[in-house]
Amino acid sequence: MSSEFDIIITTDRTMMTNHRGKEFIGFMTTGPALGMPERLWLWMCAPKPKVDDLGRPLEAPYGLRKIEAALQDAGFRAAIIDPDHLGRHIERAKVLMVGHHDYFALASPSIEWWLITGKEPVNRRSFLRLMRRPEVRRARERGLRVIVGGPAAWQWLWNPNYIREFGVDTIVDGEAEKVIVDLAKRALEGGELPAYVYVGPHDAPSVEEIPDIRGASVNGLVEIMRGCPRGCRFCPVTLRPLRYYPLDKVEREMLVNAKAGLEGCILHSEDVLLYGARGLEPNPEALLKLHALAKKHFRTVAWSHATLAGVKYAQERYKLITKITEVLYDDHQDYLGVQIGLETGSVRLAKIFMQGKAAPYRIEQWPEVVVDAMAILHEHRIIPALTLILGLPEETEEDLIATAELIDKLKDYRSLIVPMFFVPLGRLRDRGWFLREHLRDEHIEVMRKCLWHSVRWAEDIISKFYLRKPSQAPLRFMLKFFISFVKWRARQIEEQIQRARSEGA
Amino acid sequence: MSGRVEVTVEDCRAAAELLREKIADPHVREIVVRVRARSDRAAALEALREALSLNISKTVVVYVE
Repeated sequence: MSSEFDIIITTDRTMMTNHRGKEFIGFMTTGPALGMPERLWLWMCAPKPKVDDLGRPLEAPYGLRKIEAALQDAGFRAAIIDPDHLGRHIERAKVLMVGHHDYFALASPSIEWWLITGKEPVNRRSFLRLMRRPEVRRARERGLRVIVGGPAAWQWLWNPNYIREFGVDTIVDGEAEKVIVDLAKRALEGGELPAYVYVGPHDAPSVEEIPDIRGASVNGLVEIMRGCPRGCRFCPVTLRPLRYYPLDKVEREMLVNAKAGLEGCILHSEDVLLYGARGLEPNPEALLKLHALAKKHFRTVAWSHATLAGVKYAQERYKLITKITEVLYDDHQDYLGVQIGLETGSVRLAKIFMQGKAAPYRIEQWPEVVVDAMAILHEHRIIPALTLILGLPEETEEDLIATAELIDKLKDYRSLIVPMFFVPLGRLRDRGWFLREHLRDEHIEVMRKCLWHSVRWAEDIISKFYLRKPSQAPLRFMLKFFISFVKWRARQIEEQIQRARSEGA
Repeated sequence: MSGRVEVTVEDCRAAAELLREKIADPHVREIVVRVRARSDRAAALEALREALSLNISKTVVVYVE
């Protein structure tokens, strides 16, 4: 391929990295640098990837790979370029495409780290630095067209000054594989570009229209399905039609990653255990074939997301968690990581916002489902990073107490619990934001419980699972230092709160 | 009925009204609105943000002329 690319696809360093092969370290890019200089922080959580002699990264975010594939399949000279190598290409490029999970740190958990600490998260700072580079500015001034998209595309509407400052021509919100080819054609021909495109579910690509990635994805992530049938109202994924990738498509993408030398694979779905499901009924055959396939090509396999009801039902009905871990665990792997939405301990809120989350169990059983599933995960050495939402609309003191009580019941189960402030997305796009001034004692209590639960288990997870190799000693040391700093700072804050309460009493 | 509507309006207020109306219309699947904004596209999109936030099910394309 020619070294001259008409279309450059990129993102900032906090995204263009493999987070040292550990997805949970990627969480650090959503916070500000704490207890150490930002350069050291970024060294820990967002190291530079290997690149080829054109500056193309060996591993790149999966979403960008899909856009690259759609453009290359359509015959465009397009490539993902590492942000450090933009200068070599941007002078001659005609279009810059940028994607991000959280451009301006407005999504969770970035926004609460920002609100709590009062410091800008590094993902936002890194992105703004990228867009303010002299070579990017010069290219814009000579007519480079800028198209932005990805899961955080909505954030541009809240930041019109940056649309202006960075000369953004088009914002694409939603699954872009079908629309991006037409936009690229118009951009290259100097044609009119829309300011905003929202891709509705009717225009989402079918499985056949979703291109296979052509270059390796970060940590070997491959999609196995899109959409989710559970219908949680705060989640944008449930707005999309449900599509399962057939196994041959999944394998083609796995092979791209395997050929690039990656030894690990992340199966991506909002609920991996629903792969090939009939409604919410798991498909054991499809799941076991999928995991056997992944294990055939990779030493280690992880899940992006699962659900607690899915875990409980799959195990109780089919012993699937046992069967899947039997497929996965061997000399190379003896644990599995996953992100799971706990969301709330309140049955009342669960009924309002996530009726399908506990299915096939009744939503009234939600706390019981959570505890049972966590016991199953713990027993099978599956380590979840649980997320919960603070500030859901209509949330009351009793709801927060229910959440705090549920966290207490999880204390013996190996996990991280990350509280997230409500951000209006999905079917709640038109609701109000949860802001710092909305914080009350019960929120702080929930956050305090999450913090102590997480730091306790983080030390165990780092030492015994994630970073136990001798070669990982420096990073292990740095992370343990960071955890010690967090504990020290948390104790200080707790004392301050206690004093304030005593003085107010 | 194709479910596609394409309308040109004179300002952001009219565009926002049109978006609200068409987003609520179950027969519409795609809305293309051209706004003859007197300001730049950033300001126009900011003015339309609230109306756009009502949409979850339709393709919406906004041109700012």
